[in-house]
Amino acid sequence: MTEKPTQPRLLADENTSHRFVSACRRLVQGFPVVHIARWQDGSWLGLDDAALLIACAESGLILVAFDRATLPWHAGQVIRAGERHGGLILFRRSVRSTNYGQQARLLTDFWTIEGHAWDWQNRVVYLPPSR
Amino acid sequence: MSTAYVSGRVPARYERLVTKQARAARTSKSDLVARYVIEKSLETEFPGVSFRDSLSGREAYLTGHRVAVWEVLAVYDETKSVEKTAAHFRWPRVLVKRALAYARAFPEEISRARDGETDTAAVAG
Repeated sequence: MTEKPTQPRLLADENTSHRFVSACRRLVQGFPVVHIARWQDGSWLGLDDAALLIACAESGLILVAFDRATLPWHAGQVIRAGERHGGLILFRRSVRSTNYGQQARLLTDFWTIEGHAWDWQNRVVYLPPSR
Repeated sequence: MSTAYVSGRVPARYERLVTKQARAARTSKSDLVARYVIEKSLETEFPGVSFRDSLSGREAYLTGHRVAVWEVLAVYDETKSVEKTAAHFRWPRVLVKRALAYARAFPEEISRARDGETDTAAVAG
C-alpha cells in the first residue's frame, strides 16, 4: 500500500536518528515527522540553532531534538530578539539516544493525544513530561 | 595549563576586523586572537571538526552538521561500535571516526561540554 504523503509538522533534528522517524511512522501511519537530512534536500543541516528555529517558525515546523541546554537557550534568545520560533519538543537525557522505540512512543502518544491541537509558537515541551 | 606566547604580523585591515569582533564578543583582542589560533590549528589537525558557541563555552562539532562531538561520543558510548554510530546518524564512518579522534585527544573538554549541555537547568523562552 502506498503511504499518502503528509505535510510535515515536526522536524527531527540531526541529533535524532532516521530510525526514530521510521519508528514513528511504523506506530502511526502518515505521522507528520520528517528528518532534517531529508527536509529541503538537507539544506537546513548547516543552519545554526537560532537560524533553524526561525526557519522552522517560517515553515510552521516544530523542532524535535535531544535536550541540549544551548537549544532552549537559543529559543529564548530568538524571542528576546523580537523573532519567534515554531516550538520545540525535547527528549530528556533520561531517554537513550538509541532507544528509537521509546522515543517514537513518547512522541506519537504525546502528539496524538494533545500536542497536535496546541498553538506551538514559542512553546518548549520536554518528553517524557514531568508529572 | 602552561601557556606560550605567539605573535605574528597581519595587514592592518585584519587587525581592525579582529578589534571589531573582540568588541562585539565582549572580550579582549588578545583573547580572541588566542582563540582563533587554537581553533584554526585544531581544525587543521582534525579535518571535519569546527567550533561554535554553546551555553558552556565553545564546543567542537562536525562541520556542515548540527551535531556536537560530545553527542557523537554519547551515541558511540551506547552502541560501542563505529558502524552502528554511523548508521544511527546515517553518515559515512569517516565522520564518526573524526569525531571520536577529537574526543580521544581532548577527553576533558568533551566531558565538560557534555556535562554543560546535559546538567544545566534548561532556560526556555
